[in-house]
Amino acid sequence: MSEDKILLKVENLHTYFITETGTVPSVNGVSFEMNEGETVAIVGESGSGKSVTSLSIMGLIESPGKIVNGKIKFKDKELNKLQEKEYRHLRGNEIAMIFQEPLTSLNPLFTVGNQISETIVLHQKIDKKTARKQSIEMLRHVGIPSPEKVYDSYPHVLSGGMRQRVMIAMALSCRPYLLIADEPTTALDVTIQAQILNLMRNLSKKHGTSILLITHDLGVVAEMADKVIVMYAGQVVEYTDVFTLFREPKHPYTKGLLNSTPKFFETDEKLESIEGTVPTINDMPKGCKFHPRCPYAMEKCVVEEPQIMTRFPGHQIRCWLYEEGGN
Amino acid sequence: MVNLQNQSRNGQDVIEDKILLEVNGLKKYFHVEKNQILKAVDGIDFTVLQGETLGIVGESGCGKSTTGNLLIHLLDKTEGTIIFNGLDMDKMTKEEMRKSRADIQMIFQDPYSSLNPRMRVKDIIAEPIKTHTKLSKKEINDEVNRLLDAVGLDRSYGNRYPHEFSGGQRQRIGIARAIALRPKLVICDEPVSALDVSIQAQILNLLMRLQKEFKLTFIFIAHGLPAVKYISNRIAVMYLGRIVEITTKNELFEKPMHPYTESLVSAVPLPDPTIRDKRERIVLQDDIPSNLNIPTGCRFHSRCPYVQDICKMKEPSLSELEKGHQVACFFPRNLN
Ligand SMILES: Nc1ncnc2c1ncn2[C@@H]1O[C@H](COP(=O)(O)OP(=O)(O)OP(=O)(O)O)[C@@H](O)[C@H]1O
Ligand SMILES: Nc1ncnc2c1ncn2[C@@H]1O[C@H](COP(=O)(O)OP(=O)(O)OP(=O)(O)O)[C@@H](O)[C@H]1O
Ligand code: SF4
Ligand SMILES: [Mg+2]
Ligand SMILES: [Mg+2]
Repeated sequence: MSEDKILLKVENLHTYFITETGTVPSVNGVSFEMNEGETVAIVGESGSGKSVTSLSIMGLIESPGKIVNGKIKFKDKELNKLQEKEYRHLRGNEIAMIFQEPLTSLNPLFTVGNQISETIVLHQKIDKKTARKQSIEMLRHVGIPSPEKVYDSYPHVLSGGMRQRVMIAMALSCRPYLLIADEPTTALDVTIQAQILNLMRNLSKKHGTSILLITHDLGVVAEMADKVIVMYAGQVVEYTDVFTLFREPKHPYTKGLLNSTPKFFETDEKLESIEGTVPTINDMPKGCKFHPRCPYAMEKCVVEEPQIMTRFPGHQIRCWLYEEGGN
Repeated sequence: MVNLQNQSRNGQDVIEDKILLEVNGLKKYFHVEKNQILKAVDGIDFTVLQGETLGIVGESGCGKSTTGNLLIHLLDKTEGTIIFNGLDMDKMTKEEMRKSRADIQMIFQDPYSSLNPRMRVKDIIAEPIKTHTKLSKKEINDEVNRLLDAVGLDRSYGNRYPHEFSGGQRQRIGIARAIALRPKLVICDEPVSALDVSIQAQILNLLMRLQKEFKLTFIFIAHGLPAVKYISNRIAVMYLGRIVEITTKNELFEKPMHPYTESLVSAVPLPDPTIRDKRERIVLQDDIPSNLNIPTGCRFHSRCPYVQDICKMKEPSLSELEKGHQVACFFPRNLN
């Protein structure tokens, strides 16, 4: 373990949206580290700040959004101090990103090949012909049948699964150190999802690419992740390795989440559910943000906000129940 | 009769041996641009028993919602018969038709767009009662309150508007409206897909409770298998407008016979990291063919790992290979 090299370190990240109706603290003190070659999953409910966290890392937060506090360190660079020009070079070169809906991130006016070879030419100093060859190789590599044909196709004629593979081919064409995948398979059918996850897993194994995988599907987490970050209301509430998380979840929210997920091969299960609703910015509770829904909430939880702490080796938890490191 | 022996607790005590809905040879073709015919639903047969939940799964575009929309008359069928509660829908009198419309209700995927934003919640729920009954204002009001209680919403919420609610709460409103007329059959079209995981379980449990309380029969449409498995007694798997397999849920997951079902079951990501390297996945290589150009023979043959010559030429019909287990495949898997 001592040889693990930290690739990305996010420290106390605060990203807010400052709108006419008020300030939205979308990401409110997020810290985590990930090592080279690791796949880290971020799970959490809608609006918990998963996408904003990843966009912050990519330097893609646009006004009225702003990183108001915190540090993002990637390899030896402090990302939030980079000039836009340096950032642009980093994106697609050292860090690449794929999104949920590949159609919106592909330009409908250009052929698939055009878009892939453009990225390649932009980041490696090679001529167009070599770029074409490399692009077709890449398309083949991500399992696209007849890549020469797809190279000359426009995005809208491809199926959802094909488009997502094109996006992955583009993202990986420059051998990034880090691939950020924001719900890459949510819009796809299970059988296609299995193909895409398989592909990502193999590519990460083969090239040592680290993956930050955002999803709300605990099944996908269990299949893919080395470590898991659980977010709730703009904060990390639990962070540990995938086996510990599924075997011994500690935070009441994580426990509830696991209990409300169908186990699938158990025949007579009864799902428990977390009562109540996800807080909105307008009714963000004081104290622990989970306390109104928490079955273990104590008086302290209502008034004072717990900090995230390493309570067990390699296991960070934000909850008063573990104040003394007990169970 | 279908074997419902190995059923889980849900619905067990209320499933009757009575067929509530029988669908035969149901088709829906759409005429689309360039004079093409899109075969959204292409000849399906199934029955639903009083009190059970029939799940319908299959990938996007396979015809699940179209099937639901045909049953609630949101669409006119191209061919086939629908027999509801013993009556052929084509031969119903006006009065019988009106009654059957009240008896079949739908819950939609998107609680956001299916509720009128300008109406108060209590009026949304009261609307079907006003249209279909002659209850007094006071009686309607009491009924709305009972329905709000039933779906776990505070009575005071009745005066608010849909936009003031979260997705899960809106889905509860949609459910209250759907059960307002005490229907016999409720078609749930992806009712939890748009919700957060922690909220999905709430809604699934609510639906199961209401099923008992109001003696409802459900058709539960979804492409997420775990939710379908949780709530259904039997499951129909659709592929390109056809049902390729239909059986009890345990049977479907333990011994899927159709190669498509087999791959679906093997592809579901399971929330248990300790088994991820041990599972055998049947990965389908090809992408889905279009329902404008359905493959000849077995419509799954272009993606099937076990394809033989005959599959390309003849279309297998849905037949009962084991008791209560129907499959449309020449080379079924897991046969005893
Ligand atoms: N451009 C924006 N302007 C204002 N608020 C925003 C903006 N983008 C995001 N937010 C808010 O920030 C919060 C976090 O959003 P984010 O997109 O990170 O959620 P998420 O965890 O990715 O959710 P989902 O699972 O739905 O994708 C939400 O409350 C959202 O409304
Ligand atoms: N009004 C319509 N006109 C033309 N084509 C239609 C119409 N409604 C549906 N279709 C087509 O019929 C097919 C079946 O659609 P349907 O909505 O039933 O699929 P589904 O199984 O519900 O998919 P999903 O999981 O995406 O909801 C699709 O190819 C769809 O594009
Ligand atoms: S801090 Fe309190 S309210 Fe928050 S999760 Fe822990 S026990 Fe529950
Ligand atoms: Mg997001
Ligand atoms: Mg649908």
